[in-house]
Amino acid sequence: MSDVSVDIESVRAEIAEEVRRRRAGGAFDALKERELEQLFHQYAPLQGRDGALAETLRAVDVTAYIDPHVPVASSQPAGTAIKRSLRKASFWYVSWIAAQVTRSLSTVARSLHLIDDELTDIRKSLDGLTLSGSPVIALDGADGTDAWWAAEARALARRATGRVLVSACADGWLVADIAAAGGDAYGLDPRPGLIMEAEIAGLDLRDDDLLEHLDAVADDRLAGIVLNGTTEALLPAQRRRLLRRIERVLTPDALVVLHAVHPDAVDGDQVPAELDLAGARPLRPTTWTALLGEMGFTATVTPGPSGADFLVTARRGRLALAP
Amino acid sequence: MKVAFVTPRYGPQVMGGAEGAARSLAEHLVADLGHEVEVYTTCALDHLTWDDVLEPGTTTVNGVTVHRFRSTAGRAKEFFILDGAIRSAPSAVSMEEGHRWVEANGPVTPDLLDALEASTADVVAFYPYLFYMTVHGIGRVRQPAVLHPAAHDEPALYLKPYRDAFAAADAFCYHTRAERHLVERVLPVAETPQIVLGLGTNAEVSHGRSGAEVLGTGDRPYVVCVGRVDEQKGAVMLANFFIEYKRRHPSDLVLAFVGPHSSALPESEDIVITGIVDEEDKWDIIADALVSISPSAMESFSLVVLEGWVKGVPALVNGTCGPTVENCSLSGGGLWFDSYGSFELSLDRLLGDPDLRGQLGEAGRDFVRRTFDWPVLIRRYEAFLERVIARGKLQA
Repeated sequence: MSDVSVDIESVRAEIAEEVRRRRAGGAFDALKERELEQLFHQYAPLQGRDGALAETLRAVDVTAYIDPHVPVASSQPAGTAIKRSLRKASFWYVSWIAAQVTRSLSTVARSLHLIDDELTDIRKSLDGLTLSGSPVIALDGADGTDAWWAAEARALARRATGRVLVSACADGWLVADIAAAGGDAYGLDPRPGLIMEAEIAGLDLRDDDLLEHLDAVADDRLAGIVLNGTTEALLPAQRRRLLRRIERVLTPDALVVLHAVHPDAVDGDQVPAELDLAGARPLRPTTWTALLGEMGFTATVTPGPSGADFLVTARRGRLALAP
Repeated sequence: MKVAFVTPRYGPQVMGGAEGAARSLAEHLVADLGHEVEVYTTCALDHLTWDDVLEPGTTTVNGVTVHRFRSTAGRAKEFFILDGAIRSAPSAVSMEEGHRWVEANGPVTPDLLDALEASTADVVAFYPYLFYMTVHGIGRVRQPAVLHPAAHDEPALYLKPYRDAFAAADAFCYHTRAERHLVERVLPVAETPQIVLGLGTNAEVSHGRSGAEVLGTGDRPYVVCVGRVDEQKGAVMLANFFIEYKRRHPSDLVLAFVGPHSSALPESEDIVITGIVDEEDKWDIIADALVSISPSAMESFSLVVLEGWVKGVPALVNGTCGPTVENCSLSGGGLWFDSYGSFELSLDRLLGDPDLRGQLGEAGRDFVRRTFDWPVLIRRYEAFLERVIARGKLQA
């Protein structure tokens, strides 16, 4: 690692503040800036970086004005003079058309801004009910190859008939175990820095959020899912969304492995503070059994040795009938 | 292991881009690890026309077996009309219209596809997603197919034929996380095995001349933009930004564009366009630049930003380009701009603060060493291909 490092975000924030200050002080020529903005946005991505609506609206704004002043530069001899004459002769016509198109585009742009304002208001009113990005709840000593539930989860996951997704995979220990046994697995963990080494070493691990990831999975493509510490902090709407996604992406003979904190243990010291802060309550094992039963799974519950957590293993289709 | 690459252009004459990346991987697999590599490609060098200019047939290029095929059609005249028509709502374009766009984009290569079907390779790597041979070839090969999308947020990505092409891939090899997130936002392929690999930089070479000597700019300081001098790559925008910057900040500063020239730029005595230069001249120019600028919003990786960092030169990149911003953010090696105002202030800050330039350049250099060193990178790729082969062809 280099021993010199710059806080890029701070430098960028200072630059952004200075741009705002100068713009407010009239330091930039507004017309020239608009012309340059049009050039900037001409080949910008469709939805801006990270799909931000603000970027798209900015592109709409800068392209809504149709400039009737046709460029006259030319590399041909006398070309500029000819173009200038043509522009002068047709300017009344071009500017009449341009004015109408600009008026129309401005109306469209204004409408989009009104929609954006409405969406912003709705988003503010839903603040705190975000439907993605719930924290991973990890109990001390209940994760990793030596965890009490690891052997059972490993044995079941190896029997999957296709690809298995392991959520909150940490350093990829279960993904590696499944792969070593000839299975096909990949993992997700949004906690910063956990996956990097194992990813470089060759495991298929991603630092993505589970719900967002499932949105991007095709129907009937996963033969199993391991939900480790990823259900306890879900709000009801998030949990519904998770179940709908699981039902959609799992194959008919898929399996589910769920390791979670027991609701009776939420007041104990071993449960991390993230659960308090999430404002959610873990479900009882019997509730999970019922929910998975509605999706056609036959579920078995194994309580953890301390009573603080439990394991649900659920199978459907041919696997449900297997010993 | 025997690997086949499928790419629309191939050879040392093709500078940068996805095709250059494919060649780098192919040659490193052969030279560093001793694998057998063959390439299925066209006789074209020009990506705007796809005209056949090289001889068809099989040759060897730096240890890689190259099979070249003539195309039955290049870039169609109607392409730009079609392209304009799909831009506003590409995901609403019909499958048939989408295929028309793919064919009009060219090159159309049925002979290449027939030969590819007979390939004895263990794995086939398609690079990039955009062209006819990927759209029509990826579902036809018997071996596991790896798609190197080299995708950016452009209208074509939303066209229906690409949905099928991506679904037929057995694995993906991405340049950056930003590229993976983009693909997964547009297409339901998140469960497909993948790796975020990136690219290694070419070996540094030098004629021992100063950058200013190569450019013929005397002792004037300069910033550099390496790559295709093309409107779609942001060159026209950058030239206009720079001219305005110089109007507002008179100085000796020069902007040097280094690369093949395909779009007219506004004339300015402060702008130098070298055209194609050899590797030695390129590295000599980069080495003495104050800042390396990447104005393109449409990059899936941008090796030239990394090449600047190899020489300790800080980067200034287009803020709407996810991959280049990701690399600047991860490395701490550069800034990004999203308006003329932020371009002016960022450039001003970099030019006026040698310590900041040095720190950013050093952070970038360190990042390249840790992440994109060829020996590390090519072994990761080898292990990935071995896993893909072991997993087999699972897609329907």
